[in-house]
This record gives sequence, C-alpha cells and structure tokens, in this order.
Amino acid sequence: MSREAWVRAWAFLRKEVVEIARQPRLVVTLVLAPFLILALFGAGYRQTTGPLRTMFVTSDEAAFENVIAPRLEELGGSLVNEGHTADRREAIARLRSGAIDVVVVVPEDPESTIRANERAVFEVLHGRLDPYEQATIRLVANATVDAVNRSILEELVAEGQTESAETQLDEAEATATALRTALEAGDTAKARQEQARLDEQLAAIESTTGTSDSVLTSIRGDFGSRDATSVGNLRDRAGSLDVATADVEAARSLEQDLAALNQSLREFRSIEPQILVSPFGADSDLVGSVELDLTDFYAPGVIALLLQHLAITFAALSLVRERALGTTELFRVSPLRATQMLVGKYAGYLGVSALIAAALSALMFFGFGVPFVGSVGAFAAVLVLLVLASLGVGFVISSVVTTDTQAVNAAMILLLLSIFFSGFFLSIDRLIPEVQMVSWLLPITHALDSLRDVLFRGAGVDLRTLVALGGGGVGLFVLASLLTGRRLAAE
Amino acid sequence: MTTPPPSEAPIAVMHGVSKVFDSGDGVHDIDLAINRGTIFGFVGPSGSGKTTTVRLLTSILEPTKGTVEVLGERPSEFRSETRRRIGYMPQRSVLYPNLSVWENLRFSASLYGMSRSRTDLEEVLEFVELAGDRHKRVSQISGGMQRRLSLAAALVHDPELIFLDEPTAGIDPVLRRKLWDHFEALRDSGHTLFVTTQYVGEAAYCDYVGVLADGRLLLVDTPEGLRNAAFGGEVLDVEFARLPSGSDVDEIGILVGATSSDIVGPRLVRFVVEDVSEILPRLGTWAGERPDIVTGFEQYLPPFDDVFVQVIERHRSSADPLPRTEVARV
Repeated sequence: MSREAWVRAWAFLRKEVVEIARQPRLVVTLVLAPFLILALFGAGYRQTTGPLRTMFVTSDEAAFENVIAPRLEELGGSLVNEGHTADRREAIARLRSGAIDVVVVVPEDPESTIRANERAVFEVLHGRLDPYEQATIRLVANATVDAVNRSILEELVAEGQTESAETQLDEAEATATALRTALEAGDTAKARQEQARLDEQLAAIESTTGTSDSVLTSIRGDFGSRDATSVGNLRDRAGSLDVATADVEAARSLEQDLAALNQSLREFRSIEPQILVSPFGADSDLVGSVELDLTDFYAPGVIALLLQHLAITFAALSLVRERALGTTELFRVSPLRATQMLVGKYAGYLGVSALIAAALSALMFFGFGVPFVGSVGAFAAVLVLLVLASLGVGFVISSVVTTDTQAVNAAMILLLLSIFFSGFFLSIDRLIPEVQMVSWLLPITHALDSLRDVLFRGAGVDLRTLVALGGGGVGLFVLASLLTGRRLAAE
Repeated sequence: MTTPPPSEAPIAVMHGVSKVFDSGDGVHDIDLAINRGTIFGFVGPSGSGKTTTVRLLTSILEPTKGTVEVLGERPSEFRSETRRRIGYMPQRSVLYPNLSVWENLRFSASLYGMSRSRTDLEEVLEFVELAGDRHKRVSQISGGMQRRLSLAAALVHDPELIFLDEPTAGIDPVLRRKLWDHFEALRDSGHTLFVTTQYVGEAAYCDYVGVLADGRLLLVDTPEGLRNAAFGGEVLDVEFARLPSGSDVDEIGILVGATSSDIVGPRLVRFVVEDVSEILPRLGTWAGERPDIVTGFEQYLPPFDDVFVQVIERHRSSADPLPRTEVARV
C-alpha cells in the first residue's frame, strides 16, 4: 500500500480504538462483563449434582433397616435417605409436592420372586423433566440396586468362609497321608479303609465349602483353566485311586493338592467379603496432559467464545454504524478504498481484542490457577488467528445486513451456534457428519481444540488450525473487501 | 459581491441527466453547467431533487440517463487524484460523536491521505471559528458548531470544487450569514462552490441560481435575472394621490411600457416593466407635472421567497409555463 493508503488505514485504526475507549459503558461491558462471566463460572460451577432426596416404600421395615439403609452410605452422598413408608400414595404425594426427589419402591417378597426365577425389581419414581437429571437418577438407582445385590453376595461369601471347612480339610489331609503311608507299606486293606474315609471327608467338605470353592475357582478361572485343586476334582481323583496297584505317586499328589487347597482356603478366609464379591476395580489416568478439573477444561473455551463473540459483534456493527451515521457517503466521495478501511478497522479491533484477551488470560491463569504447560507464543497465535477469522465473519455480516438489529441478531445466532456446535459443551464427535460441517464453519471450533492442546498438552499450533483459521481469515477478508467495495461504489 | 468572469470551460456539466429511483422519484432531464470560481446556488423545496443532483455530481449516484462530467471526468471513473480535488459536505452532519472536534477534522484529512500539520488544521478551524473548541467532543457541541465542523471537514484538504448540501439548514440567521461570508471568501480565493439550500433568500448570495422543483430544473440565472424571469421583467411601484381609476392605471401603464399591472394597496399599483432604470426619468417628469395623480414611485425588488413562489407557480401552471429558453443557461 502507498503512504497515503497507510495514512487512511491508520486513521480508521485510531478512530476505532478511541471511539471504544471513549465509551466507558462499552468498556465495562466488554471487559468487566467477560471477567464476571468467567469468575462466576469458575466459582459457581459444581462438578457434581446435588444429592437426591429419596424416600423408600417398603412393608418390611427390618429388611430395609438391615439390608438397604446401611448400603446407602456407599453411594457417596449422591442420595439422601428421607426415610421409608409402607404407604406408596403418601410417598408419591411427597414427590409431587417437591419435598423429595425420588421414590424407591422396594419389591414385595423378593425371595419368592427370585425362587420363581425372576428378578425382583426396585421401582424408581421421580418428577424430573431434564434428561440429564433423568440419567443421573437412573445411575443412582442402578448403583443402589448394585449395592443391595453386593450386600447379599457378601453375606453368602461370609457364610462360605467358615472355620469348619478348614478343620475338615486338616482331617482330610491327615487321611490322605495315612492312605499314602498304607500304600507305601503295602497294606492294601488299610489303604482301602483310608480311601473310603477320604471320600466321605471330601464329600462333607464339598457340601460345606461349595460357595467358597466356586468363588475361588472362578477367580482362578479368569486367569487359566479350571483348577485341579477344586474339592470336586480331588474327590474324583481320590475315588479313582487304584489301591490294588499301590499307586503311591497318585496318593502323594492327592496329599499335596489337599494341602494346597487347605492353604488356599486359609488365604480365602483372610480376604474381605467385599473384595471377593467385587474383586476388580478400575483406575484411569490421563496420558500426555496435566490433570484437569471441569473449570480448567472449560476456561479456554470461555475465553475463545467471548473473544469470537466480541470480534464478530465489533465488526458486524462497524460498517452498519458507518452507514447509519452517514459517513459512508463521505467515504464514497473520498479516495478511500474498502481494503484500506478494513485494514484499519481490523487492526483497531485486533488491538482492543488483544487487551481483553490478555486481561481474561491473566484472570484464568493467576486468578483461577488454570494449568498452562504450553508456550505463550502458541497460545497468543491461536487467539490472534481466532480474532482475525471472527472479524472476517463479522465484516461479511456487516456488509450484507442493513440495520444494527440485524447485525446483533446475526452475532447472537453465531454465539448460540458456537455454544452448541463448537465442542464447547459437547464433543463434536457426538454430532452426525453432516451437522459437523456446521461446526467446522465456526472459527471457535478450530481454535478450541488447539487452545486445549497448547494449554494442557504443551503442543504447538497445529497445521490444521493454522490453515483453517489463517486461510479462512484471509478468505473472509477478501470477501468482506469485495462486499464493502460494492457498498462504497456508486448506486 | 463580485463574480469572476467564466474564463475557462465549466468545472462541472450535466447533459440531459435523469436519475429515477424505484419509487419513481428522482430528477429528470437536468442540463447544467457550473463555471469555475463561482457560487452556484441550487434552490428548491424539500424533496425536489437537490441532494440527488449533488450525489450525481459527486459519484455517489450514477445517472439513469444522460452524462455527467466533473473536473473533466465522469464521476463513476474518478481517479484518486480527482477525488482529492473535490470537497463534500453532506446534508446531515456526518461526524463521530465520541471524537473531539480536532479528532474528527484529523480523520477527515486522513481520508484524503493527508497527514497535515497541526498548523494546517488549526487554520481550517480558525476559518470556521472553532479553534477554541477543538478539544470538545462533537456530542457536546451545538448543531451550528457541528455544521461548521462539517464545513471544515469538507475544506480540510483544500479542494478546488466544493459541494455543500444544505449547509445552512436548521441554523440561526446570524450563523447562516457567517457561513455565507465563509463561502464568499472561498469563492474569492478561487474555489468553486455548489450550494443547495431551502432558504430562497440565500439565492441573493450566489453568482448563479438554479431553481429545482418536482425533480426538474426550472431556471438557471443570476439572482437578478431570476427576479426578472419570475415576474416577466422588473417591478415598479407607483403611489397614487387618490384611489386610482382604471384610466389612471392605463395611462401610467402606457407611459412606462408595462406588460402587466396589479393593484396591491388602496393607492399602490405595481407595474412590470422591461427596464426600470430606463423609464424612471420619464416617469419623474410626468409625475412632476401631475402631482394630483402620482405622489411617488420606486423600483420594487421582490424578496426571493416571492420570486421562488412565482417560478414554482408558473412551472406548475400548464397555462403559463416557463419558456424553455430560460432553463439551464449559464
């Protein structure tokens, strides 16, 4: 551009900055409002929903107090026990009045239902319309039922951990030793006598430790083939032992396996029933990023959303206001070109946006302690690209609308689109591919992923973001210049 | 008021120019030529097409028909250098209310690529008597000051041809008079001004006046010529010693060669004549001999309001149209 062209562009830059700075209310809404939004968001966001006030309907008060009530504490405060009643209508009336959130109807005579080979179902009643809250209620209900189911299993396991089985195994182990000794001594008659006693002892053990044995076996079974030391297997081997051929080795093997089973049962008794019933847990860890809470995760999105909205609104109103003020008439007579005006306005708004971005970022990092493991340069580069692309969108809007109201409406529609389609709240992977195209038309969609990668993974500006925001920004500038040039041309 | 003789080709010319909007309004068949170093006044009622004509001359609008040439170029093909020679003050004050007087003026200078020195800008502010208000924001100054600032913004790049669209609209008579003093000063320093106005009386300050009504240019002439054209000649008021009879009026009419007469008072009759200065000596001699009939006489200069009404009425009366030869001759 020539020196005169720069003079014109500089005039617009200076004018836009001074005009914004001279409007204290505008500065308040531009800077303080985003500050307050971010502060409110950071201070007020709850990462968990409030506890559900729950009332139980059951006629079996003892079962409730003994089985269900003690298990509710395991739900980690997601449910508050508001008591129980035998009157279903009373509970529903309290639900309707809003005094409680959920009514859980405990199944009547669950034992009979289960014996009839059917599940005993807990009925969960609520009045929440919000699908998110409905899902939460379903999760809590399932967790409650799981807790009750586990409680029953734990009781069964505890019953299996009896000392009598251990004593019986000691006796069986002694009998197996006597059997082997008789075979080694060639005393066939005594061996047959010991074999018969061993069979009786193992049968008794099988009936006593059936549950414990199957639990142990299933645990081992997860890691390999069926265990040769199960009680049933040992009994089979003891019965098939050929006393006539004096199979001393088989007897020794049987003796050793009985000792091993005895040892396993001793270990089994030392394990808590809760561990045996739910032996596996899960522990996840984030790879390649710092640990984040929800405020950290959303903070860059809030900044990106605010900057995009400010830039679009600035630009969308800019040319409309020039037309409303009548200055475009002067521009048409003067040697001014559309590109010179746009360069000046872009630079002015970029400067103002940069100040706001710096203030918001400072609040984010120093005020809320949002982690930052990337480079400041990459972070600033993404924000600059975002603002430039957003200004392009705004100026294109400004070139086609005719009133302030239309410009503001267009900016608000883009804000709504950005909230729902940019990945700000929901991952865009959850959108069908056709709708994802809308997402990729929004500058913030490209900036958001990049900002999170820069801040939390320490990545640089990726090529896709550079091309999308940089290339898109240049394309929008050219389009805005053409449209504005047409507006400035003679009618 | 002196009017420099047109020594060069017209600075702006319109030939058979029409601009018709979708509503059907616009201007029709405008023929016009503006001489350099003159003030060309464009007078007409609201909605008559004055602003449309200015916009056609300044490249804001393109004509539907006809040709426009300003500074030797068609406005739609103005080069940047040509645009720098044109100053434009729109009908509305197009100033940024949050910027100061000084900042608005500097912005206007920048539009023309000029990073003018502080002294240059101060001179322009002095010219419009706003130097003491340079730090005030536009939203804090009066409408009259805003008009003067708009004028300064149109002059800041020292243009050769200045278009001023109703610069005196809505401001008090004292300030209007001051603005016209400014315009005359500009004209005297060699600038050409094209000024539209609704105030018909301001036609007197112009070198040439065009009268526009219903989108048509009815008449272009000097202010004096405009009076003559409106009434069909110069106007002479004769005061009679008594209620004049028909024969008295006829006798005087024949004496002064009147083309028409009109009784405008109990003893006052108004005659339209070709040249008052020529018949005044003859009428003086006659009246001296007949003091019982005529007690006094003088040339009557009708206010331009009356001139304007007369012109408009003649245009709108199909029975008495303005002669086509009177239109658009400068």
